[in-house]
Amino acid sequence: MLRIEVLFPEVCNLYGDMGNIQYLKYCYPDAEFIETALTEIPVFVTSKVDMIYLGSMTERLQEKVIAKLSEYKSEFSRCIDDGTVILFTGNAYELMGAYIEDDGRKIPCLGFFDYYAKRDMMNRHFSIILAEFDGMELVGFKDQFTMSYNNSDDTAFMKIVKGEGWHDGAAFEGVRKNNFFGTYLLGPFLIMNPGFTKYLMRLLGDESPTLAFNDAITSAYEKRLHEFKTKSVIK
Amino acid sequence: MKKLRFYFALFAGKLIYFTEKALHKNATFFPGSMAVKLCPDILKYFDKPKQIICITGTNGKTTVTNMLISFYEKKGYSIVHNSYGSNVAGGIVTSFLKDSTFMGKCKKDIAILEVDEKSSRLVFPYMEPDWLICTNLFRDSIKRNAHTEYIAGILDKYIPRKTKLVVNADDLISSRLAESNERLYFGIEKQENESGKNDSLIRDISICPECDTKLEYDFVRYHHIGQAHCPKCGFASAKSDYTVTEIKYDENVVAISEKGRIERYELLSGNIVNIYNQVACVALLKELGFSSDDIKMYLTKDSIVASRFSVVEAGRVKIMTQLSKGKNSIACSRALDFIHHFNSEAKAVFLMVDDLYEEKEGSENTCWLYDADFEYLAQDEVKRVVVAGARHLDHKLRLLMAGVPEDRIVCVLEEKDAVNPLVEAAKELGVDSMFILHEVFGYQRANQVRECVKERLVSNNASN
Repeated sequence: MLRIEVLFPEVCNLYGDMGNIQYLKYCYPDAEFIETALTEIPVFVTSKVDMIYLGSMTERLQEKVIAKLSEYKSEFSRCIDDGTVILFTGNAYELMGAYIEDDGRKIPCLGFFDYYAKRDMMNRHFSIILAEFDGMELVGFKDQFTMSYNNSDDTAFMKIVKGEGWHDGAAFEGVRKNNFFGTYLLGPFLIMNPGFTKYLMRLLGDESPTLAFNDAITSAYEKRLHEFKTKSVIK
Repeated sequence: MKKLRFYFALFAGKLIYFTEKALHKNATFFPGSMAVKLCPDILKYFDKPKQIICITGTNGKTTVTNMLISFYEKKGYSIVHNSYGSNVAGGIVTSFLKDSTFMGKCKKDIAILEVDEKSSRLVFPYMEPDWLICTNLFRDSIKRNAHTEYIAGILDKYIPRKTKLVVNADDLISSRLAESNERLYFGIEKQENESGKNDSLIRDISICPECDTKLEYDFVRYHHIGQAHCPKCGFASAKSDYTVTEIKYDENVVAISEKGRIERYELLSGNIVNIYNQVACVALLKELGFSSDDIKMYLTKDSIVASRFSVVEAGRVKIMTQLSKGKNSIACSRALDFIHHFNSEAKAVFLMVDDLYEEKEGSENTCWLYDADFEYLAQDEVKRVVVAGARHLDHKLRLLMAGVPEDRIVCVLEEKDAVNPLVEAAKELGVDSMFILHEVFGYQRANQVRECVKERLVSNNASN
C-alpha cells in the first residue's frame, strides 16, 4: 500500500495546495495518507514513505518549517537519495535553497541547493507559466513576493516556454534532483497538469496509472493550455 | 508649501469631480486618485469631522458601513462616507473632496468610511479614526492579499495607537490586531448544533500563536470562526463584551448581552455573517452612548443592500441572487453553506463567479477553487448545478471532486445559456429554490439571468 506523507497541512495550505492531496486520494483511494503536524516528528524520519508533499506557507511559518526540517536533514537527504517522490510547491521550494534574503536579513534554509530567494514584500509578482518538462507541456500560476537567484541549470525542473522562471528573464523554473521536485508554481499543480501527475504516479511504481476524472481533468488542462499559448502573460 | 500643494490638488480634484458628475459618471474614485497624485498626503490636510469611524475586514465591511450610515442618517447626522464608492485611498479622498469646501473645511458631522485592509497603509497615516471596526480577517484574493498574516501585519503597522477597536472575539486573527490598542469585543455564543468539529476545508489559524500547538476549538462556527484554546500553554480566544446569546429565527429576534445586560433586538438577517455585522454595530453604537431604543428604531434591515442578496418569486419558485466574491474562497464557501442549509427538497445553483477582468488579460488563477467548500453542493437536494464562463471546465472538475454527480452538472460557455437548464430544472426536476452566485461586478448580469428565468417560468405557468 502506498504511503503518502503530507507535511504540516494545518499551516502549509495557502493557495489550494491541498487540492493536490484531495486529487491523489481519488487516484489512490486505498493509499495511506499521513498528515504530520508541525509539532510532530515526520514519519519519513522513522519509516519508509513513498511520497512527501509540502505546500505553501506564510513567511513567518517558513522559518518555523526550516527549523523543523533542519532537525531531520540527514533523513530527508536519504529520502532524496533513495528516490522517494517528493513535491514542494509555492514557497516551500525556497526552503531547499541556501537562504532567503529579506530586507537585508539572511534566513538560512536547508541548503540542499545553492540558490537563494530574495523577498520584496511591497511588490507581489503574479504571472502564468507555460513550460516544458520531459516532452510535456506544463502550465501553472505564480503569485509571490520573491524571486530565486543563483540557480543551476543542471538541477532545473522545467524549461520556460512563456512567462517568468526563477527570476525575470530566467530560462528555467523550479528544482529537481532524483525524484524531488520543487516549483514556485502554486496550489493545485497536479490537478492542472494531468500529464505530470501520471509521470509522478509512474515514479510511485504504478505502471499503468489511471487518472481520476480523466475526461474532466484532461479537457480542463487542454483548454488552459490553449489559453496560455494564445493569450498574453499576466504581469 | 505643502499647504499650497493641498489647495491645488483640492481644486483639481473638485474640478474632476464636478466634470465627471456633469458627464453622469460615478465620480467615486478617479477625482481622489488624481488628487493623491498631485498631493500624496492630501488626506492629512482636510479638515476632519468631529468623529471618524472606519470599518475594515475581509467580509462584511460594506454591510457594516451601510448599516452605520443608515443609522446616522436616520438620526439626522450629515456624513462623509464612501458607501457608493471605492474603499481604497482614492475613494476615501474623493469622499472628502466631495464634502469639503474649496478651503478644505469639512461640511459634515461625522465620517463613516469603509477602508480596504491593504489600503489602510495609505489612509491611516493621514487620518486617525476614533473607532475602527474590523469584522474579520480571512484569506482573500491570492493576488492582492497573499495571506492573513500579511494583511494583519499591514493593519498592525498602520492602525494609529489611539484608535479604539471593535473586534470579533470569535476570530483569533482579527481580534489580536494592534494588541496595545484599547478594544471592545463582539461575538456570538455557541449555538445548538455547533461543536468543535469543522467541516470547512480552510482554517486560517489552526495552531497556537504562542507555542505552535494545534488549537482545540470549544466550538467552531465556520472556518476559523469560533472559540479556541491551546491545550499546552493556556492561550485562548477573547471573551466578548457584546454577545449574541440567543437567535430566534422564527420570531425574528436576537438577544444581545451588553456587558452582562440582556437586550432584545429585531433580527436583521438570518445569515450568521450578518448577525456578526449587527452585533458589531450594536457594540459600537452602545459605546458611543446611543440607547437601545435608538438602535431598535434606526438600525434596520433595509441597510443590508440588495446587491449582496436578493430574492424574487416566480410562482412556486424562489430565485435568489447572492454575492460570492470571485477568488475569495471564504465568501464563496459562505454562499455555498447558505445553499446547503436552505430548507428545500429541490434546489438548483448557477455559478457565475469567473473573474472576467483576469480572463480578459490572460487566464484566471483558479487555486482558490480548492480552498472553497464546493462539497456543500454534494447533497441530494441539489438537483442541478450550472456553470458558465471561461473557467467552466475547472469548475466542473472541482464539483466532481466535491462529490457532485456528473449528471447534475451542466456546463455552458455563455451566461445567457444558463437560462434553459435552470428553467428545465424547475419544470422537470421539481426545483423550487434557485441560487445565482455572482462575483462583485456580476450583479447586473445575475439580475438579467434571474429576470429571464422568472419571465420563462411565469409565462409557462400562465400557459399551463
